[in-house]
Amino acid sequence: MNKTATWMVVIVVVVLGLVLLNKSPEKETGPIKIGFMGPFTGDLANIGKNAQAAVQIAEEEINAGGGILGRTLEVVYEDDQCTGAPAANAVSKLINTDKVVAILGATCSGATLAAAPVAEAAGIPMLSYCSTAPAVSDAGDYIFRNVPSDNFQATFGANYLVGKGLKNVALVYIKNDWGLGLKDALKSALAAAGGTLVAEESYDPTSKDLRSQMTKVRDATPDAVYFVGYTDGTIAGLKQAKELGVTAPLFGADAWDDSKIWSSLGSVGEGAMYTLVGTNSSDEFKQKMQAKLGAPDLIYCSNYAYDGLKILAKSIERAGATDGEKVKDALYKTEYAGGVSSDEIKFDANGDPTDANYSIKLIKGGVATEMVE
Amino acid sequence: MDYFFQIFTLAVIYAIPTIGLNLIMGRTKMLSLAQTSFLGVGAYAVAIFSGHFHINFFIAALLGIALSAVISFFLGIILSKLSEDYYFLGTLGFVMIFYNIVRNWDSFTGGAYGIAGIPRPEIFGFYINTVFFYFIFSLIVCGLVYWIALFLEKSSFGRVLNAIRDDEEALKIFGYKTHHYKLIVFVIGSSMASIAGSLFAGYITYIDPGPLFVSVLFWAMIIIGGLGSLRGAVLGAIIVTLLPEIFRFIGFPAAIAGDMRGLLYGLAIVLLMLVRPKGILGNYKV
Amino acid sequence: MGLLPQILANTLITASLYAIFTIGFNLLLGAVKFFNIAFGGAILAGGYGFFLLYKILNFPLAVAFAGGILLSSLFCLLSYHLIFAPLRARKSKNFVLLIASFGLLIVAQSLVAIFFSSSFQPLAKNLETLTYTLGGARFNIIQLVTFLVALTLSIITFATLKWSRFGKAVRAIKDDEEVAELSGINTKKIIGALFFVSGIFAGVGIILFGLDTGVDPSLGLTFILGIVAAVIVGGMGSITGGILGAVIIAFFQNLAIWQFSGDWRDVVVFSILIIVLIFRPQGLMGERAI
Repeated sequence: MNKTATWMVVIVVVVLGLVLLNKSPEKETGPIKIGFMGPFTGDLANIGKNAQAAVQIAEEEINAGGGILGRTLEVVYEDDQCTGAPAANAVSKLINTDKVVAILGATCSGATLAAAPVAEAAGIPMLSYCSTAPAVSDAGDYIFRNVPSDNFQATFGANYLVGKGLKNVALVYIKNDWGLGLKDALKSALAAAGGTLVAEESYDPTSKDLRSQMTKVRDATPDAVYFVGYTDGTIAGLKQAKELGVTAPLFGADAWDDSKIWSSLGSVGEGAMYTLVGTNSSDEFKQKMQAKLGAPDLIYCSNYAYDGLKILAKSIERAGATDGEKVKDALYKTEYAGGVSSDEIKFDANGDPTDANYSIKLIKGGVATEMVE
Repeated sequence: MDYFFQIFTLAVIYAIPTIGLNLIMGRTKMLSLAQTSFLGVGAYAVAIFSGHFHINFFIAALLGIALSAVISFFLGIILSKLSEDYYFLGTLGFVMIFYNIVRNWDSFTGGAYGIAGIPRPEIFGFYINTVFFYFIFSLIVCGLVYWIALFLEKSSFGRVLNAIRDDEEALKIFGYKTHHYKLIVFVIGSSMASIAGSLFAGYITYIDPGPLFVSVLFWAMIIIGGLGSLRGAVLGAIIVTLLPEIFRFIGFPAAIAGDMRGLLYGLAIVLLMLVRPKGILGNYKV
Repeated sequence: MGLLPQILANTLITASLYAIFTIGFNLLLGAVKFFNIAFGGAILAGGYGFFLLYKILNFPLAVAFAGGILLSSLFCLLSYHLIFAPLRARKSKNFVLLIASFGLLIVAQSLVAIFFSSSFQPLAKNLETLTYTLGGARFNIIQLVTFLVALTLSIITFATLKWSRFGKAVRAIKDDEEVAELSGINTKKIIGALFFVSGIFAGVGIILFGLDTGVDPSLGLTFILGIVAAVIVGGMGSITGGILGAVIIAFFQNLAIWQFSGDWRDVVVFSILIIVLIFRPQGLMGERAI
């Protein structure tokens, strides 16, 4: 008796689920939907929310310009929590329930790598605006990114340091996929440039106590410290480094392009430098972001996200249809000029950007200024 | 439609370690947090053996089960001295150690990178490639696990387990080596988690150390569904997996949906302990 | 070895923080005999309470400090009255309380993340702090204060437990709750007060830590893991044991990072936990047999 009842419940739930979650097929005149995936919870929530704002601006601008193929653009936002399983769920919902024609995402390489097979199997093009892990290059024919692989950034940084005579470098990195990628890339780049690695320390992403690592760094008397960390780790780590007496200049990667770090650190951050891929976001873009968010808050990857949406929109236009394969083919032929992340964007056979401009930013008075080389 | 199967597949996969945990916790009061670790063993076994070495998925999964059985056997012995309140601390320590080892052993597990591109399972040339087929596949596996658990429950083995739960001291006086029973149950329950891990890896096609961290996810599923009840375990898994997805549709801003989910879990656990510690279908008197 | 003084200093700093936490945690563990995982929630309540008062509402430091501590204490007190007292009245098994406290921690963590976002927030307004050097080791003023506070609170706790009426009642309850009840002690009231007091320690610790570094929602869980390790090693329910455990855990954490790398910190700590659990489950100073 009980068993039958239970099976009845299960069947009812299943049928209900089928009914509730079945949406009607998209009509040819309704809005065109593009899915956006990013972290709205967890360590990188800052990045996700900031990118969302940038994408919203782009969405408004595209619609103000007549939409795509005469139809309104609607972006559907999903939280991937910077993790594999939620990312796969999110992309599936976007593709199957919302019937998006393209995906803009994700931020975290782990999320992108988990979502990619789903998009690939469904024939939906996917453009990551922030995943820099080398593995993404091979993630699939439909998988693109407009942010370059970390290999390039490390090479640029290493060359700069050695070029300035700062040959002995201490490396401190966050123990996650991004940090590992940069660590490997930096080690080879440094060796190739003729520098020496005098210390190598890692830290747990959840840990904010880097004092022991910084103590070892101080002891190694480096010419410079290459610190791979996000906002959280950087604020804690740099403060502790200064307190412990590390006098060598601190050098970071693109994640340091978050104004919150430098406004929090104040004078502690003076003199720090970091590499940034892409041109300095235009003042115009900064103003738009400020207007949207009510504060001058521009975080790494938002400019890529902004450009990313526009690139997707243009590709759909050029393909003349929302068919996945046509859009994908159009993407490979992209020649996007005048973006806020880069002067010109083209994709190679792997769906990676062909080009990357780099700049070095220096922190002066709590604000990042572009260094004149 | 596909989205529905996507979510339900995950629920079915998660039901398996819950069934295992139900055996461990519901029958013998051993508070184990280690299901996430054994899920990891099964997942990485598939990722490494099937992904890197191109061994058949099912054989890789079996290797995972074997590995889990061995590890859980030794863990069970080491922790067997601990009383029920402190058992969870031992498993907590194990989970943290295992998580860190997996994360640090770059060369073998890919470390924080994880392993991508895990191939889908293949039977006689047929790839279980679509969400629908994977759903059926998972359902079949879950059904098998459920049947095994049911069989154990109804057997004399199961009766001894019930007796251990009700009054272990009495049983010991009667000469039953309760340690042995608890160890066997722990090994079986942990191996079930490994099966789920293999399914999980084949499904998401990507694994990283994240899911191996300390999590009360399975505790939540068991508690909500009901301790000591097999059906409760499955129901709990379905509810806990499905409910947060509903939040996607209610229209909370994406920014807080994830935390709302956490809030929901936490509240559910607290309220259930207060109001109905038995859970929805449970039959364990607390 | 040029690093040794600094490593020792770092150990002392971490140990001071954990000592403050373990005193609060052990007060409850000893008397009520359950692992209040929700203590991590009290930590969050105190830290974010301070954040709200000091950085958002701009109250003066002392007011925000008091307010934060009040919040963490109230969190514990309310959790007692609403959740743990009813459960205990029903003679619920310890494991039910344990699970409920886990649930409460998750609730606290989620609420904090919803209202304050998941990002890390430094509690200090100006991150440039006074640093001192002593014997080759460098530390800043907050860290010094943390050490002094830990010392002071320990002394006060010992004195209170030994000489005050409240302390005697607490010790009586710890020895045997039923007997204490029978001898006329209002155990429910004392235990309630104990919850409140343990919350004070949670608040003090996190605010000091936050001023030195910062807070984020995951810290509740992170700290509880460390607290549990320290408490097990030192001896469950023993105040001295907790402090000792804090020193040992802090030492091994820093040793692991110094000799190996940041990767192995947790492995070392939790291996020690398991070893202690197996070979001397009552910990170094523990009195109860397990």
